[in-house]
Parts: sequence; structure tokens; C-alpha cells
Amino acid sequence: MERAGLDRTLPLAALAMFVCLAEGAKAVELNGAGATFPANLYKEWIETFNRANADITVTYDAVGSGEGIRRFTQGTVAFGATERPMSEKEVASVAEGVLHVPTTAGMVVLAYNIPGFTGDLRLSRQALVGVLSGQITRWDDPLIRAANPDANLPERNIALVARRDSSGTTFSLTNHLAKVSDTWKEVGTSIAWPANAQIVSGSEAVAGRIAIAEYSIGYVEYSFAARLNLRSALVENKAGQFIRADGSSGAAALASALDAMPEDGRQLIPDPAGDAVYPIVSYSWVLLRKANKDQQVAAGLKRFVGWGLTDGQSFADKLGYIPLPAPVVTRAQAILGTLN
Amino acid sequence: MAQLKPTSLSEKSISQNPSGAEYATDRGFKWLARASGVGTIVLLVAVLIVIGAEALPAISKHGLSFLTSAVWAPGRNEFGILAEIWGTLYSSILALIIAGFFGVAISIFLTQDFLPPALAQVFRTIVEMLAAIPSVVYGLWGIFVVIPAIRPVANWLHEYLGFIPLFSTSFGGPGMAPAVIVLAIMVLPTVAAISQDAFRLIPYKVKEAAYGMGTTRWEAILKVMVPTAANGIFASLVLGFGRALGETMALAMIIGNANQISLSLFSPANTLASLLASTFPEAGQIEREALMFAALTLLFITFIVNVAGTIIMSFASKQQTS
Repeated sequence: MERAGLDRTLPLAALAMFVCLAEGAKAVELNGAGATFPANLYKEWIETFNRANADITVTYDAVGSGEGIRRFTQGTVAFGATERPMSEKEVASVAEGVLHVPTTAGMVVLAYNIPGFTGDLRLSRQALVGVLSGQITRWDDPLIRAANPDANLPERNIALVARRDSSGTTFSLTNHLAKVSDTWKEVGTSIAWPANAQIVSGSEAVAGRIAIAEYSIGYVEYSFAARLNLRSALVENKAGQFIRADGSSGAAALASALDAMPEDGRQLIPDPAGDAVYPIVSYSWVLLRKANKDQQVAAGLKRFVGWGLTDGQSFADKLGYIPLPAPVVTRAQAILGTLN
Repeated sequence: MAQLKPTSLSEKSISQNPSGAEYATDRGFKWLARASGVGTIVLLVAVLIVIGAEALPAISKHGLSFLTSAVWAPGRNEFGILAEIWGTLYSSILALIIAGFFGVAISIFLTQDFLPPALAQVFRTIVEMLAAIPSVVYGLWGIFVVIPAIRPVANWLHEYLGFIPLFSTSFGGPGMAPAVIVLAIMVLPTVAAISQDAFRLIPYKVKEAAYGMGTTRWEAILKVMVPTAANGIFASLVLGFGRALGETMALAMIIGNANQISLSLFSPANTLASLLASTFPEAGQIEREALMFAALTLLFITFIVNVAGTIIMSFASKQQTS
């Protein structure tokens, strides 16, 4: 399907380039790099945006949040993307100043592949921490069974799939785990996983590995699980409810914390409160330099990100992301407005 | 070469001093050959020095614990490659056992008059063509063919023979077993080709003599031909082992990339080469130094294997001649 899409757009892109050359207009190239979490959405945005705007060419390299921050700090890209906001120290190292513009949000789901398993897998907070810390190694473990009393859990080893590269998805997940568990200590974009974990690079690879490895479980943004038709677990939230990841439970999680949204947009929601909220959600930010030397680049970034915040939001839901709540869009536009 | 004509009585002798150009070519070639020989050694040393220099910070920081611990935590700057060393050796040895058995069997089949020569040549070419398949294709084949194919067998083994450590974990997919099978097939052409050469080097008279002594065909093959070719077969196994140790892409795709030491064939593991391949692109400076240390270790292991192989071979051939 993706291939077909590419085939369709390639001639158009070529045409756009040709038209552009013929008119003698200089296209601004905006290259970005970072998180794989929003990559499915950004890919769609860029395709649509580039087609409609011949004078701007946006590209995006999905290399993981850590690498995105690194390239952005080094100044090799026009914009970065991450789910781990840059620390004050990191921000200070960028002379031009840093803007975090929330562009979309998503749910980190626990996607699994258990052949012959019907019904829904429910993961209590204790079981989630147990599986991800390597303490629970079998599907028929009493801790998993406790939340799934009637399920036909297989007598099998759990094949845990985790991220190797420095990842914002890992950060969102571990940030949640540390909040809900006393035993979970490590929070970061790249942590030491238990020995039995299969460690791969990028969200796409995690989903791909889960698809080919039976009795496996791993964490990805919802859209990656949806693309490969992977089922994902119902996760226990703060209110003790087991919640399925879908548009409404994700949106409810964002809505529950709207009041606490800070001026600079860097809001983490490690454990949203409410009955019907999905517990592991995160905003995804685009990193921009506040002061840009090249005014053409600044204008281009403003147009692209601004377009993403308005028209682009309509893509989010069908691709497996959560459209930004209206107040957050307003806040994001205000942050974007300070770019020059 | 000039032809000698005995009838020639002319004053002009057919033999003459080499011309200056011939001297120059001769000398030039000698130097070229020397330079190539020395160049190879220089290249090897240069590779060692560069990798060693890059690895030096990691060596001084982690020391021996790098080789004896099994963690890979870039976040905490803790690195250890025991699991990868184990995975490399375990997968290579198992693959070599399979490839050795089938490789020698194939070379017996193709050299001991089981087939008409023309047909044997066709088979030989087909086996050698296995070596031409790119590693990444083997990886894909492993994912889409080998894993589904061994799944029922693996499930049965785990269910009924799960008490044996080899089958103690359930089979998920990517793991040691499919990796070993794919690796064995990748090593097979090396083993088969070199052991065939070993068999073909034995003069036909040897076999005729064995038949003359009244041996059956199997006795001739197992008791005369195989021992005579043993040196060459051993060489093929050493080369095959070297190839298995360094195999990267296919293993990175199907071994499961898990940092653990397990006897179980069905659990995911990792090898040094696939650790390098999959970790290098995103590695930061400190992790890169640790990876260089891992590369040095891999180089050292292959070096040891090759040297040990050469020593054992020369020892065996000395015994044979005495």
C-alpha cells in the first residue's frame, strides 16, 4: 500500500520539481530528523504539503528522538522531533534558542502476538512492570493471570521486544512506569533492558519483530501496531480501569491534563487521571530554533508546522495518532509565532 | 618461450642476454610481488592499529570485565559482551557441525563415482551457487521460510523434551535455531568445495588399491579415502568456522538480538558481528569505543581459530608423513 502511494507521488514530485525549475524559483529545503513515533504522520504530512507547496521541500529522517536532538543541537537539520523534551542544559547549548512545538500526540501501546489467544489481554500495572523488567517471563504467570481469569493464556515464554536506539517512545513508557511503580527506576530514551529482550532499532522494527515472533510483546506508538494489524493490551490506568488504546481514550488522557499545560508546551503526562483515559500518552514535539539566520528557512518552517497544526491535524486520527486538543493548537501556534 | 632449433648453424646464437626491458620487467614484477605481500601484512597491521587505538579508551575503562559480563547499557555506560561471545561461538559451532556433516557427505557423493562426471559438475555448480546468494536474502529467507518451517518441530520438542536444556524455552521465532540453520547453509558451500578438492587430490590408484585389497565401496570411502583427505576436510572446517564467526547480516535479522546466555536453541541470542552491525549506526562516542573493543575481540577470536587450525593441520600432516 505504501509502495503504491510512493509510486503515485513520485511522478508528482518530479513534476513539481520540474515546474519549480522551469519557473526559476528557488525551493527551500527543510530537512528534519528525529522521533520514529510520529513518523507515519509526518510522512503523510510531508507528502501532502510538498505536493501543494512547490517552493518548499520538506524531508524527514526517522532516526529516533535521541539522534534527532543530537542532530538538531549540532545544527545539521532545520528541525528536530522528539517525545523527550530537551533538558534545560541541552536547550542552553543551542545559542539561537529552542522552541518545542507540540505537533501531535499518541499512545504507547503494548502490542502482542499470541497465536490462538482470543479475547483481550489485560495488563495490570504490576504485570506491566513485571513483564518489562524481566521478572515475569511466562504468559501463564499468576500476575498476568490475575487480571485475565478466563483467558486461555499459553504456557509459553514471553518474547519481549524493546528499542535499542535512543527513543522518545522508550522515554514515554519508562516515564510512566517510574511514576506508577516503586520498583521501576530507570527513566530515559535508552535503558538497559532485561537479558531476554530482543532489542531492535526504530518503531517500525519493533512492530515488525512482534509480527514475526510468536508469543511476543513490545511497545510502539499506536499507529505502528495498527499498520501491521497487531493487537494491543488493555492497560490499567490510575482509576484501576483496563483501557483499550483508541482515539477517545487517548484524547481523554490529554484532556485530563489540559489545565497544567505550561507556556512552553513541554508537558509530560506520565499518569493521567480519569476513568476512561489510556494511561501511556505523550505529545510529540518539533524542535525549532527560535532565531533563524535564513529568513526563507524561518518562513518555510512557519508555513509547514503551521499547516500541520491546522490542516495537518485531520490526518492524525485515521493514522493512529491523537489530534491536538484545540487549546493546545492555540498554544502551539503561539509558540510557533515567536520564531523568527 | 623461444623454440630450440638444433639445425641452426648461423652465427647469430639463438640464446642471447636478456634485454634491458626484460630486466626491468623482471625486477619490476619482483618488487610488485613483494609489495603486494608486504602490503597485505601492512594492511592487517593498520586495521589492527586503527581499531585498537579506537578501542583503547574502552579497554582501559572496562578491562577484563568487558569480556566477562553480559550487559549492554549505553545509558549507564556499562558494556559487556559475554553474551555475544557465547552467541557467536555457540551458533558457529552448531552450524559447523551441521555444515560439516552435510558438506563432507556432499563431497563424497560428488567425488566418489556415485554420479556421472557431467552430472556431478552440475551438482557442484549448484552447491557453489549457494555462496553467491547475498546475506540479506538468506536473512529474509530465514524469516519467511525457516522460522515457519521449524515452528511445529520446535513446539513439539519444547512440549515433550522441554526438560533438556536445549529445548527449555518455547520457540517464538527469531532465535538460535533458525540462525544456526541459515548459518549452516551459508557455510556449506565453503566446506563442500574445499573437501571436494581434498578428495579429488587423492590419486585414483589409492582407491583401486583399496578395492584390490577386497574392500567394499563403503569401506574404501570411510577407511581409506576419508582419512587420506582428512587434512583437507579439516581445512574446510576451519575456513567454514571462520566464515560462520564473521557472518553478519543474516544473523542480525534472525538471531533475535537478545543479550543473554542460554543453552536453549529456541531463545533469542546475539553475536558479535550482529551487535556491531545493528548498534554502530546510532552509537555515541563511548558506545562506539566499546563496539571497537567488541570488534577487536571478534578479530582476535577469528585469528585464534585460523592459527589453531593451521597449527593442528601442520601437526597432522607431519604425523601422516612420518
